[in-house]
Amino acid sequence: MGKKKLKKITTTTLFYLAVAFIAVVILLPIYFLFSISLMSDQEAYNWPIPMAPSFVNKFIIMKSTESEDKYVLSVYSKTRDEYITIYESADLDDMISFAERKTNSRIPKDLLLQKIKELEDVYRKNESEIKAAEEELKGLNERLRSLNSQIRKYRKKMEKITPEMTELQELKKSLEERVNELERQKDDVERRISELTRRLISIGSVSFTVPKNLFANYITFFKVTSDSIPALIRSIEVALATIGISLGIGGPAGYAFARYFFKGKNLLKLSVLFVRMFPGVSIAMPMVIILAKMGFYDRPIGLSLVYSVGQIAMTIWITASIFMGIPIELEEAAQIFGCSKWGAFFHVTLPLALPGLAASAMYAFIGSWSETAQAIILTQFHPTFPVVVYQTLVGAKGLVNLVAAGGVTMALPAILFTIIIRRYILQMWGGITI
Amino acid sequence: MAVLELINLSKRYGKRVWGARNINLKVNDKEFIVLLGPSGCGKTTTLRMIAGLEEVTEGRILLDGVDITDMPPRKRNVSMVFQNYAVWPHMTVYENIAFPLKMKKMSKEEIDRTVKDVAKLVNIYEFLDRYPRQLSGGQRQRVALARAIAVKPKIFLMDEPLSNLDAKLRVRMRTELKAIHHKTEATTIFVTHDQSEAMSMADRIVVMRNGRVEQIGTTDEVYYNCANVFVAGFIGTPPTNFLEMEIKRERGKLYLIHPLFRFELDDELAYQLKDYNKDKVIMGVRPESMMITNEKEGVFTQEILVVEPQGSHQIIALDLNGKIIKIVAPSFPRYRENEKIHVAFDKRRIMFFDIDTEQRINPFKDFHKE
Amino acid sequence: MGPVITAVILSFRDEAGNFTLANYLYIFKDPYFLKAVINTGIFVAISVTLEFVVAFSLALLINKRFRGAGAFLSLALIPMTLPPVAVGAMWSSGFAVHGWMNSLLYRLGFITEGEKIVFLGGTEFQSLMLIILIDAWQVIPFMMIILLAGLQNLPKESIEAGYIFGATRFTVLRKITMPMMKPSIQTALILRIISALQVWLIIVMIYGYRRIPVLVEEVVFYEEVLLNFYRVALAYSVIVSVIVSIVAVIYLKVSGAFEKAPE
Repeated sequence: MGKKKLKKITTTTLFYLAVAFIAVVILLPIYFLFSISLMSDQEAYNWPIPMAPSFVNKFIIMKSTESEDKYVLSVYSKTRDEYITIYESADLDDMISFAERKTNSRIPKDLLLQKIKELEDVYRKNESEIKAAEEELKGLNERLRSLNSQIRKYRKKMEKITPEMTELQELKKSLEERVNELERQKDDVERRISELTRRLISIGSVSFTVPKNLFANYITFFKVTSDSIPALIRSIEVALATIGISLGIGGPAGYAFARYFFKGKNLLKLSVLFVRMFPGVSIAMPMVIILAKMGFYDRPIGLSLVYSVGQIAMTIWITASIFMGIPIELEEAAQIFGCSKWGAFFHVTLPLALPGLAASAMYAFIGSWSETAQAIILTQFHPTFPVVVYQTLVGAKGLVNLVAAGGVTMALPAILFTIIIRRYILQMWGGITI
Repeated sequence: MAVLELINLSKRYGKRVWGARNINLKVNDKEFIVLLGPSGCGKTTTLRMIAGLEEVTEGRILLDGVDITDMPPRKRNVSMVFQNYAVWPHMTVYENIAFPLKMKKMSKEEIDRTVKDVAKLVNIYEFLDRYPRQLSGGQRQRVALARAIAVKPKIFLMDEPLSNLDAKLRVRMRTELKAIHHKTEATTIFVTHDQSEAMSMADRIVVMRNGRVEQIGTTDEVYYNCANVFVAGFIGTPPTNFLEMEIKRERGKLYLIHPLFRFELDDELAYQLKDYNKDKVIMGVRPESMMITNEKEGVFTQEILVVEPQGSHQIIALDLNGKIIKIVAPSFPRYRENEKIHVAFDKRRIMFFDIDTEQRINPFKDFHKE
Repeated sequence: MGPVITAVILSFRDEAGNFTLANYLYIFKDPYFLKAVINTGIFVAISVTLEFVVAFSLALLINKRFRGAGAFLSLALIPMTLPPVAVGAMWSSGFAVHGWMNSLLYRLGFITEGEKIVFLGGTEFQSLMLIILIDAWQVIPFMMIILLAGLQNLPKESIEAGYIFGATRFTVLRKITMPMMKPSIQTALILRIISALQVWLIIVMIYGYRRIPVLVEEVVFYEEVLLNFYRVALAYSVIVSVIVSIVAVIYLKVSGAFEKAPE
């Protein structure tokens, strides 16, 4: 029976492995979107991108080799495991603002001044060593440069010798050897350079850490992308209006559907499905014309009207099934025990339907909030938020972390609501219970 | 005083489907009336019309002389216990019972007192703070009961309230309900499809089929004095045995002829058929009205098909020309399959039905006589 | 219904308001049109098949009610509810040359610095495949839920009977479960086919316009990007609607289900 157990264990392990794999596939991109949105320019445009955003930035400040009153500011990069120079200047304010833009850390000026004073002390202490190291470094860099150009020259020559030129093969081999020798020297030089650099840093610099403003990207996003905050507000407006319209019409309609039997009930069910079938985009365009005539083009009301048309079908479906889930006897009992028909509705049906109605409201909210295609077509100068993010994405591809910030802003309410109403989504699509 | 009158009550669905047709009934004060019948017979429809949950197509409903036909339920002074209890899940037990009292705008103290009294009466006092989902089916049933009682209505309506309970609980609740009825003395209309339930609880039974009333009577009346084949066959377990008999008049005497035997009618029985002129008749005899006897007294002789011992009695099944006849006999002597027995009828308990209309011919007037 | 009719009418008009087929002719002459049709066709075919297989497997998986299935289900829901722009941002940042995808691969040692994979380059076909994967990420949960619902509503006894009477797990799946799931499968497929035919936003977000032409993308292109060509856009959208309806009808006929009663 050991064999059977072994088989069972392997199947179970494989099973959970598959589950874990899928979970990773789902979570990974989301995680990255989120973490990138929190990264500074310096982190995000680095390669490779760090796995997690850092909460602080570690800086060092050194004296410039070029001129006496200039300072060099470098920041520590986790991925490269070294300090990257970001700014060299005598103007401290300039330095601070540049650093802020690049690393999302605002260095307090007095901290900087204090560190500079420390730097001066350190410098004075180790002045001779530093100077010596700097000299050596300069020499090494020159050596590196000449080595590189030599290597390049030899390489060029080697390329000219093709395999057919048999007499020159000997020459080529010796050239190769020479090149390899040079490469080795280059490696040595580079090693020494990095050694020296590190030494230089340990004796000639002062380090400090400044907390990073994680949400700088978001702030930038909202400041930089034109129209973003009004767009956000507009999105919320439209979403609320959509909820209002679709629940206002869909709610009672759903109730009627659930409680009363009237002619054409099946027809209505079919047409609900049919409306969903229609490409929403192709409706959007003629709607432009119609809305323009009504004066609702490019205004939130117009948008919510169009959204509602699509949403109502879904809302009716949801509310109908909610009301159908409430046994009519409960209402009848209320009527017997003292309520009018309306009273029964308010005292019994509504409280019981409330969670479901809230869920469908949230679902309508998410639908309206995320709707991008129709929004693009139906707005011009007053876009909603997803349109703004879309434009940023399409227009300025390079600003990865900025776009990510926009994306996360869009995603957050959606994820939140999903978690709250997940049970209802499942129920709605066919009564899934776990 | 709570006297209910149904006058020609009818309910039509759509264009042609009648849920109930021409129901006429007078319920007396403090009476426990049972509407009995198979599914779809219209008993629930009738009840719901009385409650005000169904619109009346034709006819009138009078409560203590007042026409309530068009009144909304809450004005009718009735209360109802539903088959599925209809206890409101989002309210506690206390709130459930208090709800109708609140609707009546009773004072807080009065409500509190009433709720607690009723809860004690029905044995759910400990559950007042709980929610229905925390209770068992039987407990929820009591909550529904308590709620209905608390209101002190003129009429109690009960729609198969015991059907969802398990068998043992059902039997126990029957007794409890009767006890409560005794105590509250409220006029009650009770709907069920279970004829033994009806028999054990009712003052009078209204037997219904296909939307119409077949018979209204006390338990004895609907048992011994059936109005037609349906009632005779519906009430009683095992059901009445029906035999199709040919009528022959010979030399001034009436004989009933069956393929397997011939049965001479004495004067009393012959008198019942005196106005009946057809040549065939349906004879109905209850299993307990057939006796196993000796050859001389027996009307027919037959081999036993199956014996079902029931503890307190045994049920003996015979095949009479393709038709299964059942006899209820005392437990002893124990009979065996394939044993030949001689069977006779209790003449006072024979019922005759018209061969075509299935209606009863000349019912007994004084069947109580020994 | 009104806007649809307006759209149709307008698509047959020209600048001056006269009846003309010029808009349609323009489309048919446009080399991108054919490409768009083909691309859309390929996309739908591969995408729907792939997504169906994966979604069904996942549904079966979750139906086993293992520990943590509930959490897993919630997790699987999330891609479905993310707004498309967020998804676009996510994947474009991932598949850029300096994106996190490459970074991850680099850290795991799969590629070296010089071997960064250019995800967004490649032939049109390869790019189409990539889009299929990206879209699948978001769409599979949707199909999975419909299929899961169908699975849960199956009478357990019918499936148990299959096992009792000797069938292997795979046979039970093929001969009992799937035929009983027909309505759910149909619903999932038809809904997916219809939305797949209208794919565009995700393509535009990652690749921009006209890189991989597909039908609806062209519509938006003509509407948004080339403002004066809106009549062409309308004609396009009419064509798209026609195509969608035709496909839908064909599908319904083939699957023999004209009585659709969504529960």
